[in-house]
Amino acid sequence: MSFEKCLYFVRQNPLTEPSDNHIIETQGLTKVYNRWFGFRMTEAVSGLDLKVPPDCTFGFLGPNGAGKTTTIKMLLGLVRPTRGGGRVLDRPLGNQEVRKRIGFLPEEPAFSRHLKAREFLTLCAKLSHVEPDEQKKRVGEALETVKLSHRAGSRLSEFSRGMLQRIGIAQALLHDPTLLILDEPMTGLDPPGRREIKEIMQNLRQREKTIFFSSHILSDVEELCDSIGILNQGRLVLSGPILDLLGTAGVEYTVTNMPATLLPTIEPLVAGMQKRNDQWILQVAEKPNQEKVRRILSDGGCSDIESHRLQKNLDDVFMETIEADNERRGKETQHG
Amino acid sequence: MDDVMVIAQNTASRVLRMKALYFLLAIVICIIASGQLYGDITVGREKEYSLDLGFAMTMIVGVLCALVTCFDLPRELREKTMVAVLSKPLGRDRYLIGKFLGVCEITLISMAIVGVGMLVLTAMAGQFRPNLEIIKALILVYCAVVQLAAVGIVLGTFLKEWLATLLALVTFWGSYALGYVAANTTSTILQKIIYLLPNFAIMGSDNVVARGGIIEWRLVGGGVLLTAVYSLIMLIVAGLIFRRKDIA
Repeated sequence: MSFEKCLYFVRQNPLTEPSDNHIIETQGLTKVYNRWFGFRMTEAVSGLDLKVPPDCTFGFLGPNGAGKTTTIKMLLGLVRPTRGGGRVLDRPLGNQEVRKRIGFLPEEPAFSRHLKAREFLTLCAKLSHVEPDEQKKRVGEALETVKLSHRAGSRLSEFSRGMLQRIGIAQALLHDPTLLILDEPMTGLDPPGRREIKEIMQNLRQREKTIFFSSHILSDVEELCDSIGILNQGRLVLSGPILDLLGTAGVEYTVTNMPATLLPTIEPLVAGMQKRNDQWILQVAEKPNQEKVRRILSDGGCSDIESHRLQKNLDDVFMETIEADNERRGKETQHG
Repeated sequence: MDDVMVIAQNTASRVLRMKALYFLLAIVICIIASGQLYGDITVGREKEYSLDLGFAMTMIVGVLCALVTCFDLPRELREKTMVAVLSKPLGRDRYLIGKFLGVCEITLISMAIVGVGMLVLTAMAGQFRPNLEIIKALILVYCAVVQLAAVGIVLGTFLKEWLATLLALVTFWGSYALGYVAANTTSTILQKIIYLLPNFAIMGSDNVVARGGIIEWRLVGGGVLLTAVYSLIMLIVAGLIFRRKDIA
């Protein structure tokens, strides 16, 4: 192999060494779509460095068009990266063998609609290399998991969006994969449909599957995930365990019988205050103010003080992160 | 090989569910049957006319089935049904081979139905008795159609449905024309270039049979071999293109 070829290979596959216990690991993963013979270029994913630990539910978030689906397709080898590379289950991206250990639900559950549910799942079982004597059992189990056993003989063309989504999950589970990649599993579903999918995902989590799923329904992500990554305009802008990222939004003090004389001193230090019967609820955001308020209340003779930490919700974190990133990009563009 | 056959079977079953296929087969059988009536106005050539018509109809059915390769791949890509399949541990090459085999299977079934219909109808009219020469001619027609399916696979990997179908039809027409050019040109370079393209003129022995001629087994064997080699080359080319394609 020539030096240029070696260099090209290393650039295309920078992660040649096995990863340190990450189920998914990418380095500088980039996808540029060329249209009109290169006259129109769109950078869908830009220099993505992503690490997904094992045995977790990882939420891959981002606004529409952020590059989530393109990233997933690169992980599965359906789309070729323009630059960078990565490893999934310790194999390079696009490795055919590794797909035996991955279950994938596409964003749009577009399946061969002329087939009956059982026929379709049998076809998928064969394509997933499930042993012939196991196929019938696995198909039955998968239908049971997604609660569609009663519709096994119905054609997919008769299925609602929610049922197709569940069939999509069933086909992803047939070969008992280690890693499940679900692209927008909750999109387009009504509340009962969403709840069913969430229950299925929670059950899978109990079976120690690693789930990587993309979504922009933040409440679902907050409920289901251990870790998240936020993608904006092709770049990963935030990643980590969800509890660390949510952090705290301050402290809420509940004070009984607080003297009215303390109010003018406390008011400038709190973010919000509310009176309920004989109790005052004080929300204090900044840490120095928290200590000051606590001292004022103690010195003021308030003996009955309850406090608990206020946690940010994912909605706030997401919006703050996206807005900050958009602002930074705006400045970069102005300076650039 | 199991997964290739699964794709082939799925492709064939999807085509078999197209009502248009049965409509086409019924129409074609009716046309062949009506050929017996038109044969009477050909002044002593009704036998040739009936058999020629039968071969032409078999080929039309075969070509229409072969063209499934042109629109099946782009359609699966557009409808995104390909995404779920290619996320399985199935190589893209194997997927293409499966598609090709599925179309070959459905083409064979359709042509067999029309071919048998043709044989029965001409035999019933007392014009021809089913004989080996007719079978040989049908084999050669099938070979030409398989080559067209292979060309369709290549075109379907990178073109839109309508453009791939149009170009495949142009290839079909051109391959007959080029075959005659190759037979009549004295330029060896031109002959070699032409033989890189599918040459269906070699397969056009149906008119020989219609006039009571004999097709040598050598020609049939050569046709089958050429089809196998040509299809293999086309599948390799299709595979190289398809491997680089983003399934977006």
